[in-house]
Parts: sequence; C-alpha cells; structure tokens
Amino acid sequence: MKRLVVLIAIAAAIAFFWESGRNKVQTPIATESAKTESTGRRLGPFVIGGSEYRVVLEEKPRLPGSTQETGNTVVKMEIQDSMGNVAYERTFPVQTELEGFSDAWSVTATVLAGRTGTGLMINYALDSEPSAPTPENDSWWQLFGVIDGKLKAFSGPISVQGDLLPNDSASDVLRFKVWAHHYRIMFPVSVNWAEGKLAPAMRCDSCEYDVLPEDLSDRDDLTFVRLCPTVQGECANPQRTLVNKDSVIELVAGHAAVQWNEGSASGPSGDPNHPMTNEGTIAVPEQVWLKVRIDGKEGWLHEEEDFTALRLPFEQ
Amino acid sequence: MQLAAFFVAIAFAVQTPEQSLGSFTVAGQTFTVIVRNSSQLEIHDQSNAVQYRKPMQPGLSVTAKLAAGNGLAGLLMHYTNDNAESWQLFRLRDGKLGLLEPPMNAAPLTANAIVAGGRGSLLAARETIDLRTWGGNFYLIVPLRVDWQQGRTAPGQQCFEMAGAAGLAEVGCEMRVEAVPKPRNSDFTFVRLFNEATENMGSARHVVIKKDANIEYLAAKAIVKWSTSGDEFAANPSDIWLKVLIDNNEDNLGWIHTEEDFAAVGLPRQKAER
Repeated sequence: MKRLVVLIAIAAAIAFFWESGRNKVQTPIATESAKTESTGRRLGPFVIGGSEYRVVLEEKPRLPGSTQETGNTVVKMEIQDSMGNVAYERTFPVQTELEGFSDAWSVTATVLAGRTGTGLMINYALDSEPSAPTPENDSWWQLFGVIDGKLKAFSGPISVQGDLLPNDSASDVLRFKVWAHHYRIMFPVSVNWAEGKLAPAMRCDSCEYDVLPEDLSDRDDLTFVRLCPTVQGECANPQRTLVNKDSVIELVAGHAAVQWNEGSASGPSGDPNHPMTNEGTIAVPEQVWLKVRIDGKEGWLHEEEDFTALRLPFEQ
Repeated sequence: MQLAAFFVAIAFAVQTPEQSLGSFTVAGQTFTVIVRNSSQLEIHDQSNAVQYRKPMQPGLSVTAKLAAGNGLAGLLMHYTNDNAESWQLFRLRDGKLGLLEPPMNAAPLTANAIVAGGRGSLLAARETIDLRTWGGNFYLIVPLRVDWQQGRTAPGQQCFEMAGAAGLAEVGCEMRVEAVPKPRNSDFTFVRLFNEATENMGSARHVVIKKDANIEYLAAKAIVKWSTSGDEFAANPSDIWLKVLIDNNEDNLGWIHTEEDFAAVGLPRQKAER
C-alpha cells in the first residue's frame, strides 16, 4: 500500500512538472532582448500520421504605428510533438524597418485530410499597415506530413496572392485561389503523401485554369468587348461583342503561364528579419487571357480595355 | 454649204475635244486651263499662247483653282486618279507662269521649329494655303506654307514631342477635317475612344454607337510626308487619327484610328468622292 502511495505521488509529481513545462509558453515571458512582454498561445493538438502535434506561438504586442494598430504579432512559431520536442520552427521580426508602419505576423494551422494521407497546413500572414487595399492578400502556405515517423515540410512556404480553397471531399489536390491581375484562377497542386512533395497538378507551359465568379454588376449599361476565337499572340480580327446591363456573362476559363516554385523544404534561415528565405511562389505573369461567354457567345479577351469594359477588378 | 461646214465643225470637235477648266487671273493676267483629248493639259495666256503644257496619263483627272495670297495669287492644279493625288502651284514671275518649288520634308530640328511642353509645331511664318487631301476615309485639310516672293513652298506644320533619350520624335499635327459619312445600317456599332491620339497613353474606352446617334467629326491628326513626281508634289498622310464627339456627350469625346473604328462612325475606307 505504501508503495502504491509513493508511486502515485511520484506520478503526480512527474505530471505536475510535465504540465508546467508544457504550459510555460501560456504564461507571460519576459525576454532579455525585448522591452515588451511575450505571451504564448498553443494551437492543436493535431493528429497527423498517428502522432500528435501542437503549434506553439510566441507573441508580442504589435507596435501601433501611425494607424494605431492593436493586437499581437507572432515572433516565433514551433511545431512540437507530444513530448514537447521541437520538430520545426520559424521566427519573425517584431517590427518593420519603416517608421510609422505597423507589422503583424499571424499563424494559423489546420489538419488537411487527403485520400491517402493527412497533413498539417500552416498559413503565415503579414498585416502591414498602412497599406492600400488589394484584390487579394498575400500569405504563405506550408504543408507538413509525417514521413518515416518524422514531421517533414513538403515544400517551402508557398507565397500566394489569394487563398486555399476548401475541398468538398477528401482530395490529394490543394486548390489555391490565385489572383491573376483581373480575375482569380484555381491553381491545383498535387500532394504526394508518400514522398512528402508538392507539384502542380497540371503539366503544361501555359494552361487553361478554372476561374472563380466575379461581380460584374457595376458595368456600363451599354458597352462591348473584343473576343478572340482562340488564345493567340496577335488576335488580328477580334469580334466586337455587345454587352448590356441584362447580358448573361459567364467567366469560363483563364489562360496563363503560371510559374510554380516550391521553394526549399529544408527550413528557414532562422534570421527573424528574413522569415521567408525558403519561400516558394505561384506567380502569374502579366499576360493573361480570360474566356467568357456573353449571352451564349464564347471568346477570349486579354487586353486591359476589355477587362475594364466588363468592370473586372484590377490592381492599383 | 452650211451643212458641210457643220459636219466639218463636228469632225473637228470629235478629233480635238477640248475641256476648259476655267480662266484664272494671276497677278493681273488671265490664264485659261484646257485639257485636250483627255491626254494633254495646257495653260494659255491672254494671247492664247501656251505657257505650260504636259501630257496626262489615262484615268487622270485634273482641277484648277486660284490659290489666293496676300496681294498675290497662284494657280493650284490638282491631279487625281483612283489611287493617288498630286498638286502643282504656279505663280507669275517676270510676266511668265512658273512653278513654285515643292515642299520638302523638314529635319526634326529646324531653326524655326517651336517646341514647348514636350510638343511643338513648325508654325507657318508666311502664308499658308489648304490642300484638301484624301486620307482614305475622309479629307484632311493639310496646310502648305507658301513664300510667293521666293517661289518656295514648305510644310505648313510639323509636330514633334520629346521622346526621351532619342530626342525629338515626329508626331501627327492636328488639322481640320471634312467628312461625308455613309448611313450606318447596323443597330449598333462600336468604337474604341482614346483620350489622346496615341495608343500609349491609357487604354481605350469602349463606346457603343446607336444607329441614330449624332456623330461630330472634330479634327484629325496625321504625320504628313511630302513627295515629288516630275513637277508635281504630293502630301502623304500616315498614322491618321480622327477626333469624334458622339451624341454631344463629353464622356464620348475622343480619338479613333483604325479602319474598324472609322467604319463604325460611318467613314469606311473608300475612293475619294471628288
């Protein structure tokens, strides 16, 4: 009986100290280098490949800047296993170099369940104020999975001006909404769970992508666009097509030579002033084409004045 | 006998059909312009002496008119066929009719070129006469500078703009326009309106023109190059733009320049209507 009591006491002590260790980031931390207090926040747990992970964020109050911003900015992110071991980490700067500006990094995490694997998707975002509004915000997406029992980044953080679209059902394809200068394409990325890699799902130099609907209700009562029968360098005789307020306009497809760069999965440099040194990109060149169907008539348009005639969004 | 004389007169008339283009008084002397057999042009003085004669190619038509100057006047001959047109300008000197020197294309930088605000115009320092020049879709009123005393002509205007490191680049000058639109058959036509007569400054606005729209043709811009052939000279407009106002709406004021747009405002490419 005495032995049992001693064992219970030892177990309780171990649990107490373990919990204290785990929760230490939840309490304010005063670092030597910072004048402001750090706080901790934990996301998860997330079960991936049969193992449990947490995302631990160290945050500091955001400097208000000229726009008097409030809230926190993430200065460090760690992905820890169930034992508290750090499997991956990234550090972020606490303040912009430009006086009067206010920067805030944020990190979110979610489990991404595919058909043949499960991963942890991390989204990094930077809010920099003051800033002009943009049609789509930039952020970074990084997928992690478990390969040979270890957590592994499948790529560098992929910079996307857009978002990650949800899948209706389990899928091994990531569907990124990507800003294409006047509209938004859906850029599919295949996940290779076995090898821990990402790659564009469409193999072509210049591909035709699905596009997302846009609000075109602001267009003039009467205008026209020039439609080309195909995507071509020089559309010699585009057909001028009437568009009125009642016209039914469908955005059918986008065409662009989107460039994919997976970045480096090997991890960031650790320099908080350059947190995304290993980033990848999904870059859309300026030259884009859009296939539309206007009152049943299909064709491609690609010049600024035609996008403007339809009141498609544009970037400053 | 009278009948015989009549037939002789008829036969002579058939053999030598003569078309008078009119009589014109230049510096107090009257000249008569005659076309014989549609193949020869002659200018006669008051004593019926031939002062100028030249053969005419088949299909060529010619008109003559006075080009009035400040106290002086010249005789302007205008030759046209299906594809081209040319001019001659005569003056009276020492009692005889003589041709003025044709205009030459000026170099970009000339002593009397005026460049201001990045855009300049070679202004006429002397008198100018207007050449009604067919541009393919409408008439451009091209000014020609005339120095009656020296017997020379020169381009009435030439425009330049700053083109960065390249220095000055020639651009089209604004000039008057005469247009005779054809009826538009479609319920709608479409034009791309530019704020300036260039595609490099902003994108075009798309304007739909209804069949009954009121279209005003306000001005043209073109680069005019001069050429000579024999003793005739020609004005060759290029990069032609047309300024239009649709339904008196300032939002629909702008420049157009393609054949598709010219046709959309009722001015399709065609042969000149003389």
